[in-house]
This record gives sequence, C-alpha cells and structure tokens, in this order.
Amino acid sequence: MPTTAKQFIRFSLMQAEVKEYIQNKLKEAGIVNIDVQQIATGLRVIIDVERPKLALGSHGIKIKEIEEGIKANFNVKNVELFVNEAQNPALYPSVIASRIASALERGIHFRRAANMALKQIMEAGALGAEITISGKLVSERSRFEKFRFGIIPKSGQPAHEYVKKAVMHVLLKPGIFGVKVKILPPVELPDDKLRKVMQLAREKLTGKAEEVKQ
Amino acid sequence: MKYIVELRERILTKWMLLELEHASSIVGKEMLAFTNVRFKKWAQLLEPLGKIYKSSIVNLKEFHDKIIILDPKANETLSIEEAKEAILVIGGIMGNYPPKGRTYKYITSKIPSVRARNIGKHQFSIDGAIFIAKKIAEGNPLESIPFVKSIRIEIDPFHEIILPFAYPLSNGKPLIYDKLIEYLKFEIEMDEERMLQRVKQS
Repeated sequence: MPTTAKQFIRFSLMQAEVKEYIQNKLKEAGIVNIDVQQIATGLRVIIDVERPKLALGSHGIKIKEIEEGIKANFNVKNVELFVNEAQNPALYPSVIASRIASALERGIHFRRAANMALKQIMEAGALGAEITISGKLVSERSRFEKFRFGIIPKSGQPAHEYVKKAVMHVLLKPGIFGVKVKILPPVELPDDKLRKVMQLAREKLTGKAEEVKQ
Repeated sequence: MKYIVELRERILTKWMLLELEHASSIVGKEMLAFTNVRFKKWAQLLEPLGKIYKSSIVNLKEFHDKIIILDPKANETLSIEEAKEAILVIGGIMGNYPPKGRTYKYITSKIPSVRARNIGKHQFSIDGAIFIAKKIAEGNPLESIPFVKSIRIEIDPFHEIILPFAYPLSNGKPLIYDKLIEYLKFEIEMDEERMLQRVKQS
C-alpha cells in the first residue's frame, strides 16, 4: 500500500478513536458533533455540545483533562480544543438518542421517553422524525417499536442528503436496547415535485391525526 | 396428549399466557400439556388450558422414547409420519432477536438421546409453532404451510410494533391471537410500567 494511503488510514483510525474517547468523557454534556482536524502543529478538535458548561467543567478543568488525555493516549504533541454551544440541539439525532438512552437508564418507560423526544424534535421545527426502539422492552419477547411524526424520506437522494441518523445502544437489566433516531431538519427542498409530494403526505398525515383525535 | 410446552421463562407474563391460551384453543385442552410448571400460581393459571407437570421434560423419562423436540437448531425437518406418531415438545420461550438458541441450550442438549426436528430455520411464536406442528400432523408438508417472517401491528398512525418472529398464515392472514393484539395496543404499557416500578423498588 502506498505511504499516502497508509497515512490516510492511520489518521482516519486515530480520528475515530479520538471521537470515541471524547464521547465517553463528555457523555453528560450532550455531544452534537465532533470535528477532528490535522494541523501542522498537531490536532484541532471542535466539539459542538448541548451543555457547554458541563463540557468545560469549573475553570476549564474538564477540558484540560481531556486535552492531556488525548496527548497521552494518542501520542500527539499539541492539541487545540474548542467547545461550541450547539444551536437547536433537538434537531440532532445523536442528542435525541442520548436523551432517550439516559431516560431509559433512569427507568422511564420507553414509550414515554420516545414520545417526549418526538415532541421536542417537532417543536424544534423538524419536518419529520422517526424513533425506533428495539430489544427486550421490559417484556420477555423481543420487539421493535417505531414512533414517527411528519415526513421521513425513505429512499432516493432526499433520504441520503437530508435525513440525519444516529444509533445508540443502552445496556439495561433485560438486555441491550437499541435506539435509532432519524430526523428531517427544516430544509428547503430543491425540487418542486418533491415539495408537492411532501405537502400531500403532510395533509394526509394531518387528516389521520384528526381521525385519531376524534 | 399430543403437544407439550416446556416452560423456560423466569416469569409467566400475560403475553406468554395469551399465547398459551391461543395454543390451547388451536389444539384443544386435552391435547396440550405444560411441563416445568414450577409455581402453584402458574399451575392455577394453566390448569384450564392443559395438563400440568411440575417436572421438566428433561426429567420426565417415561416420555423420552415418544417425544420429538421442535428446535430450530435441529438438522432434520419434521416429517408428516413423525408428527403423526410422536408427542411434540415446544420450547416455552418468548424469544430473543436474533435468536439465542435457548431451546437447544435448555432442552435438546440436556436429553441428546431424544429426537429433535425443525419446522424451518425461523423462530415462531409458541402458538404459531403448535399451529404448524398440527398442520403437519394433519398431513400437510412443511413447505406447503405459508408464513411471514415478521409482523407489524399498527397502534395508531404514528406508532407501530414490529414483532421480528415468524407467524404462519391462516386464510392469508398472520395467525396471531386477537386478545394479544388488544393487549399490545392497550394494556402492555401499564403492565410494563408496573413491572418497572417493582424493579425500581427492589
């Protein structure tokens, strides 16, 4: 394998490991996105979080700890860490998945946790959302439960380009629970035809919702 | 007695009880028995559905030469002749996804001298497995019995339950107990809430 390819693979591997390390350290801060960049002097890491105060710690102790941890564990001489507050975190599937996961850990019923999360997503202005929770959901038989609202394109370019996805696993007493979140954030859809299809689907869905209410 | 359900769960949930009730209505009370009924309360609940044995089928040696265990891990498929002459043992297991092979672990591996047969590679519900076994015993080969690999139960337009288990088709529809659908739609949440609270308190 050429040296450039080797270097590229090595960096991608390190990038993934650094992300995992930060995710484990800053679980409570609600990580939205981690961007690891290679710069001439070392690494630049930009972390978008829901609760920056928790990520920084008092007087920045926590973030310094992480900085030192990255230096020691990944053999990097210089690390620049930036923490940003994420705008509208309810539109990020990773945040929602971690919120549901922590609700499950606290013993909240998964249906209530999913419905609460769905409400938060839709209030944040998303066009659609789908939450799937799977595993031995309290009962003895495994099952999947899907909660959805609005529109989620399932195939084609819109699904690939606009829908954001995240998966999280939680280990509880009955076994492992899987939490999968899909969100269609408020985007300007480029195609007129597509917009019309979405509008039709929305009208159909509103009709169904009224039926259920009645 | 033609069918035996070996109970292998820690608790007897309402879901399982409904599946057993359905199984009893499919084959009739006289044709069904339950083994490994460890508690008095279980016996009280199961008595109207079939014959009760406190011991596990593993220890009921008098049956060993007459029984066939239905196990997805078995190499051979259940034939019509075997289904007609033998007593069929079904694992009373609610099932993991993907399957963990618990029928093999708890029953087949413990009595290796007993014949084990499969009714396909897929994991069926307890009532579904009994329905298929009955169909085979009636002279229908396994290949002729249609089934679906999973079913969706719509609670409302925004919520659905997917059961990732095989269900035989009866008159073109998946064979699932009406009472179980009602339970999954309206009662299971309350039941599970109660269960979670009990776990919290303990």
